[in-house]
Amino acid sequence: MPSAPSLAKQKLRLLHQVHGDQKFEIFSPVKAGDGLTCAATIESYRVAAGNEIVTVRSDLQCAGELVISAWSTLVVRA
Amino acid sequence: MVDAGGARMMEVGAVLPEKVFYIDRELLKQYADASGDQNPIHQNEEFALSVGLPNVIAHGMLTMALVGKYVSDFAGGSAKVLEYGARFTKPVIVPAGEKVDLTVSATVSELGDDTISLTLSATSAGVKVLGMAKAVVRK
Repeated sequence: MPSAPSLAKQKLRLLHQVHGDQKFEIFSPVKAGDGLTCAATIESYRVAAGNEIVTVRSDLQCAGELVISAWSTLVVRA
Repeated sequence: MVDAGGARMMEVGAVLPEKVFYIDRELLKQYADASGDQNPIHQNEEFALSVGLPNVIAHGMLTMALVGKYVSDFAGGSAKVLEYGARFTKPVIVPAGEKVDLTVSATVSELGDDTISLTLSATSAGVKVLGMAKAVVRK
């Protein structure tokens, strides 16, 4: 069997996750009916006082054009 | 709310009118269903207490969405919001059977040729719940 954490354990970790901060830059408005693609990049990862802190940037594109970048900082509490 | 014409007359330091939103457990359920975030800390009091929270807490993104409504109402539509960010410093605590306040106001921090920058204030039960909350809107 793989040594990865069980689904139950992974879920427990997710339940100890809090949203630290959030930022949006909106380059052009998104409208109903738009088809969007999202590319997510881990911009930073650090451990502070046993908490894991990860910042993910999500770039949303519509028809090949960047419409929104969103930064989410998530904290997985120790 | 201030329309775009009024917004152009803004000065740095101007304080915008306060608006109060109300959050209850029913709204948290609706937000969980709409967003797909079914984390039990936002709905199940027993679970929230078991992970060391004082009670059920609102989704940070719900708080941010309500403050975002304040921003887009000020701007004259969501299409005029260019930047918006905040830190979730303290949770909005939502006891059963209560409607808690989310009190929002803003100060004009910078005026560009085409933009207005706002510093946002959001409190619940007198506690500041968003830190470093800022938005930039188009005039």
